[in-house]
Amino acid sequence: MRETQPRLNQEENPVDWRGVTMGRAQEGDEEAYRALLADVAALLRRYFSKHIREVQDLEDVVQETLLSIHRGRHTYDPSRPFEPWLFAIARNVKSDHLRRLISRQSWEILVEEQPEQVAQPDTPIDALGDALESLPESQRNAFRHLKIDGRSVEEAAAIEGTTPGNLRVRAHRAYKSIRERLTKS
Amino acid sequence: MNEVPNTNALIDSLVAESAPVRRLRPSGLRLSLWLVVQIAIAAYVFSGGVRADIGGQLASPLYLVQLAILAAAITLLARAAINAGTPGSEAWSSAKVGVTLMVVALGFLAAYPANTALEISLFSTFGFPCAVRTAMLSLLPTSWLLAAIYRGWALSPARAGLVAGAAGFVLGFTMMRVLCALDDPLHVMAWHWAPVLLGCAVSAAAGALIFSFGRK
Repeated sequence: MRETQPRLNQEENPVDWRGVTMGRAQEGDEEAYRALLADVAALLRRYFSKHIREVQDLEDVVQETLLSIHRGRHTYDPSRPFEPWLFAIARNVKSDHLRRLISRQSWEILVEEQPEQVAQPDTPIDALGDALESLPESQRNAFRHLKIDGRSVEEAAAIEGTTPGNLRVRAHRAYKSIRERLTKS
Repeated sequence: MNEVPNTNALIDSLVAESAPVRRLRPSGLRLSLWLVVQIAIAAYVFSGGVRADIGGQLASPLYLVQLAILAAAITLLARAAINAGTPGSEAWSSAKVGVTLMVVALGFLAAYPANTALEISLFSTFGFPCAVRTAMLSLLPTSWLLAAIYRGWALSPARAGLVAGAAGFVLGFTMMRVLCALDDPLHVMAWHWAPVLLGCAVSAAAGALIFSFGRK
């Protein structure tokens, strides 16, 4: 016989409420899952806002964490507190985000330098074209969507039929390969 | 603020695909299962014969303490590996204590005399089969732990793979202390311990690859 989880009041005891609600969500209770994700989204927004100022970035990170919670929800043990599990995931998403931010900034610096070099023979634009051609198709597409066509990560991911996280990884690998190639040339 | 509706839409889509999930078994139970696997492997291996001087060795406190420390190190490393697949579970402090115990157990080798007179060809002839056996004995327990982590979710893939490799290969190393009669520190370090280091590196690389891929 399936054990039914007790129903707790969210206002009175939010900490236990989250653990119990996640337990019910694991069993397929959609209502509980919706209430939990909404509550957790607000909690995460408060948590990330201490570290991330940009509103769009903040919302991206909250959404990525919600996706991670969804993907890893089978790893939560309802007999244990919910918050350590949640914040371990949130910290991981935050450090991934910071890593991507650093690599994005280094790429932006590289792009800013290009116009000065356009007039030189065998221009970086040619080198960039060559570097793009040398990439695997998935990375080249990720680069084109984000840097040439100006699409958002979500749009690009939908077009490529993958997750935003995966698309970012492809784009990051593309930036790295291109950077290495341009530095050599 | 137009971002919140996006998040609400995401929540809707996540709820729409929220089928019931099979929870991970409690980590204590999984550790017990791993101990059963480890005892079964050890029983199978030892049924084929142990070192000829085992009687004398079991009377030696030095040998017994060494085995006890290694057993504790294996258990802590296995616990760390299993917890590495569960976000928010304590894993790394167990791993640190396990590694410290491993180093202490290696320190005991200094108490045995080294045979520096052995020719290099003989050193290799005696040693190479031991390296192969260490690797063979470690493969199943390491794979079991990697599979257990894969079933969960490793937030630090390479570290999780490293700890799984450490637990599995230290188990192989420990079994070799019961199977191989050569206590010469040079032999043990070169042919029993070096495969442990190599195995840990391979397992860390496998973890980085498998668990990162699994997350996407």
